[in-house]
Amino acid sequence: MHNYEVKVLRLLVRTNSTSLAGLEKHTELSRDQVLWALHGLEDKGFVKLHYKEERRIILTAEGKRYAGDGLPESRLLQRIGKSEVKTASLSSSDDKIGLQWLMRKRLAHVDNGALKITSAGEAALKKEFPEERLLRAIEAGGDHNKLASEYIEELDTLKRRGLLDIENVNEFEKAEITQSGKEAARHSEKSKDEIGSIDREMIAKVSWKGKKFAEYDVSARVEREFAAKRHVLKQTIDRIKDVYMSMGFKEISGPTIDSAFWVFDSLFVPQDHPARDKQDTFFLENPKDLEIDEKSYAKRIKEEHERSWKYEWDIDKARQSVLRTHTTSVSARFVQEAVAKIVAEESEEVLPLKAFSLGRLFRNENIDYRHLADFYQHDGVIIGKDLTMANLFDTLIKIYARLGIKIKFKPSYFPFVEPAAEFYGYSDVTDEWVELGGSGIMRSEVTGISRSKISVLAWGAGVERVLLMSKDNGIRSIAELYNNGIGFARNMRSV
Amino acid sequence: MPVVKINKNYFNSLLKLKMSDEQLKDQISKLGLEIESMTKDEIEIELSASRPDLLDPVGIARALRYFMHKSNKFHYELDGKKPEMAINVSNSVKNVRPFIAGMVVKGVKLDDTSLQQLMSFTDKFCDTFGRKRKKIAVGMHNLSSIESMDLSYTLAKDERFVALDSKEQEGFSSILKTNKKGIDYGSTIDNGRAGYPVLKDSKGVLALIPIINSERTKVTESTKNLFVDVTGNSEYAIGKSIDMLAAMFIDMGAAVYPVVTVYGSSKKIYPMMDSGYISIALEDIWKSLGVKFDYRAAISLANKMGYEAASVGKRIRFSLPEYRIDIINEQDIIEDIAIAYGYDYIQPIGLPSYNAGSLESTTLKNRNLEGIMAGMGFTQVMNSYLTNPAANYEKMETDRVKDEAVTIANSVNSSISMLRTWLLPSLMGNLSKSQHEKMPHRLFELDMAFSVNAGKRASEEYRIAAVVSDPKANLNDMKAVLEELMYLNRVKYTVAKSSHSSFIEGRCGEIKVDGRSVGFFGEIHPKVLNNFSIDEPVSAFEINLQELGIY
Repeated sequence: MHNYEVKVLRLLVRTNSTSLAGLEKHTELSRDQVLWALHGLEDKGFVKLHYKEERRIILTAEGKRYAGDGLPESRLLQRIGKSEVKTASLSSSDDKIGLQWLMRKRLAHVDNGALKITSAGEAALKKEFPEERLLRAIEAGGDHNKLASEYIEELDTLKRRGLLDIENVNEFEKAEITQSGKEAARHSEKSKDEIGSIDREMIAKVSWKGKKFAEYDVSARVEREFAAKRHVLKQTIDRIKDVYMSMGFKEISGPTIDSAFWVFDSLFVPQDHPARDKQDTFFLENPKDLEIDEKSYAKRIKEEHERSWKYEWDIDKARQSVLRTHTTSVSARFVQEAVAKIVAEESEEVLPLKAFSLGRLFRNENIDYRHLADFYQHDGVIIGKDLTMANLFDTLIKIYARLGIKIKFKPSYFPFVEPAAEFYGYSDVTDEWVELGGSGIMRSEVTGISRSKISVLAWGAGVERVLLMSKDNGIRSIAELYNNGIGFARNMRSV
Repeated sequence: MPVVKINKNYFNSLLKLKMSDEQLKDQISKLGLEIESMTKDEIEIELSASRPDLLDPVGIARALRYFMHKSNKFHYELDGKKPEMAINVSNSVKNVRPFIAGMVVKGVKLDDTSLQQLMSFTDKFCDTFGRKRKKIAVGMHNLSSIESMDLSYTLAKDERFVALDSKEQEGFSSILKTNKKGIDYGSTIDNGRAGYPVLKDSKGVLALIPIINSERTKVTESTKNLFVDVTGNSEYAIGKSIDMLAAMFIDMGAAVYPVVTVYGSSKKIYPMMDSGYISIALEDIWKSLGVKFDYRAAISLANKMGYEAASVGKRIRFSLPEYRIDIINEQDIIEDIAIAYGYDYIQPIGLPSYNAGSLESTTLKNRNLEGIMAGMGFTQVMNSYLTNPAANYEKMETDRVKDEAVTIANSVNSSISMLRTWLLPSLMGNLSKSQHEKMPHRLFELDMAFSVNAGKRASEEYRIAAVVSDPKANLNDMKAVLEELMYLNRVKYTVAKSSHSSFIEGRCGEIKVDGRSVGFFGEIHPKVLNNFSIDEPVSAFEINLQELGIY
């Protein structure tokens, strides 16, 4: 027996049966502890628990409102008691309900389009409506059993009006000790000499020597302790970053708020491309524009766009500030700078040069409980000589293998890579292939250098999916990960 | 990406191949398209955004036939047919919609299904590749209802005509305001501010370009001969588009006749059926794919994607199909070869790592701080960066600072109009929704907040904030947390008495490092707690980590 159970049982021997409040007071245990002990004792057959049926009245939202404001018909009655009210002027839903009930209760009648009070109405005006009195008594916390016997008719009416619900619940009344319980208590008395909790003094003075330690129930149910912890998504982000690092990638980062130039133009997305539509991208009001390097990068990108897409490139459109729609903008900057260094033979790193970034991106979409407007992406690039699709596939297969996900590739289209491949991961959780991201060999228009000299592999993929797929935490949508309630955090298991 | 619904019988009549549903699914997927769903009567395909020639069943069937080596007709020609019609272009359209190309299609067999597929294709084409008709729009007319062989394309004043599917005459300006097409596409011609581009024959208006055709020349199932126009603001794009459409009609069994476009003294004859060549060293293909194959295999792969190809020395010469609009240079062809080879057959090849991998110092520092906070019993939350002034300022009882926030111009969500300037409002929101959970509530967030600095540049800074909510939450317990955080990170700081409208007066401290203000801590004002419906006291701190100087 647990010592809570012993405490409760011993008390019951002395008092035979007692209420919950009494047990709490005399054992100095909390209500939860007492109930827990009682259920344990009941399971062992040491006590018999008695319940009594209680009526519980619960006000609906509307009922609560009327408890405060008064019933619609009583409010309307007061108004017609003071001045004439035209039925045509009754437009609010409360007024309509009020009208309906005044008629039904024959407290008013309609005469020539106006509401006229009846003699019953005059009488009713002088006192409080009994239904209203009941509502207020419930709201004030009156004894539900008593109210239920006093207001039988009104309770019925209000229930039918959807203003309250009545529930019957079993409330714990008293505990009664059984014969075997009494014996168990006697037995526990005998072991009074056994040691329960040990304390400082006992340890110092070795006073436990020669005594028996009371045996505890190791199978007793306990509530788990809640660990404080880092967010599961952050744990996943760590895993992904560590995988990249283990494969020789250097972490890079870049601005969240960026110019359209780096998010779109530098990645060979023409200025009239649907992806740049106002609907998909958050354009900023403050700051409206951002500076871009007109002389070097912008000049080259302008030429590439005009030659390939045959339109007039507008630098003002490139200056517009946006919330990045992918973290590939970070890769674009890195590639431009790294390639320039390699060409100038100023790079200290040996090719192939591998880099990755991981950060938030934004989509101007309708948000709801399943869809968010900001989430995470990881992006990788490898800069080297004669890099192939075979190298790209190998790299991605290894990254995802280390994250426990099997992947496959499919042809696709992204303006900045050619050939392009989408990749899908197999989800054991949902038993299906899930789209993870896009990849390919960067176009020379993006890197600014012929592929026969330097080639760049690039990819980008969602982060949250990795978490959704690799372990079943019961999460089905990305938005759930951002729940951020304490209950959610406490229930998330380790990644 | 666009999704197209295709009538299965119609598709099979174009494909002329016996295939099981599974085979069809597999082949289409290998081609880079995806079958979304397939029923007895209908196939729904998700298309690639890059290939306008694959937006219709005719093009998909053509590509599949090549892919399965069932077709070796690689070129589309007009067989020397001479133009019978001309479009005279007035100089007036120059600044509104300058370019037009036309063609005559004879002997086309239309029925309910093929007509409907044709219409839905041109709509999709004009919406995607045509950028909602701004760049390209296609018009189709019943040739027998056109009264003259000479047409004129000119800018007109507000004239009246009977528009497609109307019974009454209506003025152009009224069409732009009341007709759905007018409302949707009026902006492509600046809503007629400079005039209305129209195509006319001797009898009158054939079309208000690129909005709507006339009812007079409406195409129906019984139409045998068509006049087709393509208009737009790029001469290159209209030329490519009409070539693509010509190929499609030829595949539908019709004969295509050219039409002359006359720009003053110069003439253009469309469709041009431009082909052209690109030659690529075989080795360059290997180098991109990481796979080696011989010339014969390369040519066979090219054929699978609809290219006629031949080896010339060490290079392979690809002749470009007339209907391909998307090919910019050799990189696009290499992708096609990769698709023909099959991504599944490319064997992965490992790359060496000569450089050590590394993480940014911010990542390492943040991990450390997060570990410390968790060690002190705080659970991490990750909130959206996006917010609105009510949540960022008003609920916290602080004043909006003019021009401080990064604001969004075009959000589709009313709850999103700016980026958060601090983290505490997010954490208060988290506490607010956790009211029914067992106490104590200890949360922290380490992430970014945003503002616009004096130089009109956006600043993105890492911050850390923490909240404790329980009946005994107080200033000193929070300060103890702060003290430990600073001790572990070797930061010397001082505290100055401060007043902050989110905190109780006299219970807020400003945290200073080397005289710089880096953050604050204190007990949240009950007014703020009421705003968030939080029932128990809350103590909190927030620190700007960039200012703290520990990165």
